[in-house]
Amino acid sequence: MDRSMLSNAVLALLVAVTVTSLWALGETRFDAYVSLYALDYMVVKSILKPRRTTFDFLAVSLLLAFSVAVALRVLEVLGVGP
Amino acid sequence: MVLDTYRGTGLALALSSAVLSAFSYLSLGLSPITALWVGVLVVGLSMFSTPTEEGAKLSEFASTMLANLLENIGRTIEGLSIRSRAVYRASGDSVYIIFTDGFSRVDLDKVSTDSFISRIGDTKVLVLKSPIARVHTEGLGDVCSSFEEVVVDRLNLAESIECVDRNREVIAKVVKPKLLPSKTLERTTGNICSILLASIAALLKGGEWTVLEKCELDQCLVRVGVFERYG
Repeated sequence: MDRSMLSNAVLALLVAVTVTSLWALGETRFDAYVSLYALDYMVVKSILKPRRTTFDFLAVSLLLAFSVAVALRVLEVLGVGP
Repeated sequence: MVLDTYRGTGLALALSSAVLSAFSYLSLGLSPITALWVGVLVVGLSMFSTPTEEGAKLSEFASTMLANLLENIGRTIEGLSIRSRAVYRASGDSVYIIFTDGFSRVDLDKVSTDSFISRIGDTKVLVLKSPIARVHTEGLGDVCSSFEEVVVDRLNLAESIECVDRNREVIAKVVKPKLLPSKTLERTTGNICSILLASIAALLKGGEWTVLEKCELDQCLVRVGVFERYG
């Protein structure tokens, strides 16, 4: 199997395991799911290095979403956030 | 935009999951169901952004033929008694490999890539065309990714690559190379992986590049760096 297609298959498996695990644990926070999706994608990208047709906008978007989720959580802990 | 089945499926997944996640958000808010559809969206987008043109992997039969063809470079250089490191320079979409008796006596700006062999003053200059061209690195981004794609995925010359790009120097470890190194080639240009790495570096980073260390052992370590001109 092509390396890039293998990475997509692994990503799909990781996303499925992430959703199943968090849901089974009763996790309802949306940002927890998105943060783990970002982690899954980065792990697959760094290990399998899939090819992309253009610049990897998906990686940037997920990283941004992860950063926002972490920032909101930090603000919440500090008592400043919404 | 041409879409094959794989990318089309990815696009369909992405679009449908985008609609479903929007619907879930509007009806249920930020819930695990919405997160599930966002997860499917991520997978769909990943599939859609994966290039799927046929990347033919060279068989061992063809790889050996390539190695024998490239050995002619070494034989030519030895036959002409040129003993120097090669300098790799990109010109347009091609890469040229420049050999000369002494780089200290030659102004590289005066070297024409149109001639196979020429003289600048008393110095012989040999110019060969690299097997690597810009078409081989399109859509691949950085030097290390391109090198791995060419050596492992396309030419099947090694099992894997570990590579570090230090801007003016690139170091790559070729794990389990599948071709025996050619002594003739190694005495002159370095092995096939050296030629490929230096060519890719010249194409993607510009400037002039040379091979600093060559492959000697089973676990090949290749180092290429920017060529420092004399004077």
